Formats: sequence, C-alpha cells, structure tokens
Amino acid sequence: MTDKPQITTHYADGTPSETRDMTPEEIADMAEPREPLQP
Amino acid sequence: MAIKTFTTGEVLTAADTNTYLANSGLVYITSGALSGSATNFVGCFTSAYTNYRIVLHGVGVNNPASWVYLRFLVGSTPTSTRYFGSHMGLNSLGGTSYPVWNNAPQTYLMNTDTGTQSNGSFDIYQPQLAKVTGLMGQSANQQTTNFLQYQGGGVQDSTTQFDGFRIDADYAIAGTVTVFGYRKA
Repeated sequence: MTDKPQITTHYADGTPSETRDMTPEEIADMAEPREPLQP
Repeated sequence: MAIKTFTTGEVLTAADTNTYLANSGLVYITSGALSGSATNFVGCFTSAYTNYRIVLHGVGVNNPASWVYLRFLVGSTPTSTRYFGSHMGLNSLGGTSYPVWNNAPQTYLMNTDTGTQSNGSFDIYQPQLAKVTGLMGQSANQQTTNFLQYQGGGVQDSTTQFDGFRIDADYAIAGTVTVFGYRKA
C-alpha cells in the first residue's frame, strides 16, 4: 500500500483499467480541500 | 427507424428487435469505480453522440467530508481553467447553500462524507464539439448531520474538444460512475 494520492484510469475502448501514484504535478493541480457544505 | 407501432398479430422479427434494442434513448458507453483521489474516464466522448449523461452512485469517502469535482480531459490530460457555474442546495432541515465557481480550475459536482452514500446524475452537452461544453444536473448528498440536495451546472468556457472526464475529490473516494450517450436519431 502507498500513502501517496493515486489516480485510476478507465478506458472506454476496453483497455484494462490502471491505477498509479499521482505525480507531484498532478497533486499540485488538485483542488484545495474545502469545508463541507453545511447549509 | 426510431419509432414503429406494431399491430395485433404482427410478427416481431429479430431485425426489428435488434434495431429497437440499439435505438434506445440512452446508450450505455462505459462504467467504472471511483478509486483513490482521482479517476479518469478516457475515450468516452466520441462523434457517435453529441450529449451524454453520467450517473454517480454510492459515492462516499473514508475521510472527512469532501467535495467531488469534475474536469474534462483531452486524452488523460485535464483542462483546469475556465469553469463557470453555480448550484442551489437545500438540506433536510431547510437550510440553503449556493456553491458557485467563477473561472475555477474544476466544476463542483456533489459532496459526501465519511461512511455515507451520495448519488447524482449530470448531463454533459457537446463535449466533442469545438464549442463551449455544458454540464447540468442534480445530486442527493448524505453527510453525517445533513442530507443535502443540489441542482445546478455550468460550462467549461473554451472550444476544446474533450474525449473524457476526471472525477476527483478532496480525499480518496469510492463509488461508481456510468456513462451513457443520448442517441441522436
């Protein structure tokens, strides 16, 4: 198991799905965690 | 042959059956489990359809409450600019919330919480065309202390032609996404 954020890719053409660790660039590009919506 | 009225005693042929099975209003394209912090659905938008519906069910996290986002893909590369839109929400106690995004790096889709189950469906308009891509839908979101319903949408303001989308969240999420295409004729 890894503690790094992971990304899974599903392919519509039937190519097997794959999961890998996210790159530093992908992690930096992720949205900042936000407070949950509490109306 | 989109519509045909069968009469009493008429034989339903294999050809008719196959035609009407293929002519359903929504045509299944693909599905996959949400996993980790982000999940790509690659190659699901093609010239075969103009508009699409994505259905998310059983969406939950094993960490604190999380927003769930969508970005459109070209190949496996997300577009992270110029998302505009808004949602209007109401919780089971009568409170309201209006999440908005203005020139954001992703769209808001829904939210969820630890050990809960959220569900939603969203229409995506003309992602394959060199025009603005639209998104509109609704979600029923369960949180530890609230049950939230949201409706809304927006656009990705560019002429980029997308062939997929990415679902990501603040934390690792689970759930299932199914993609359908709206039959053209």
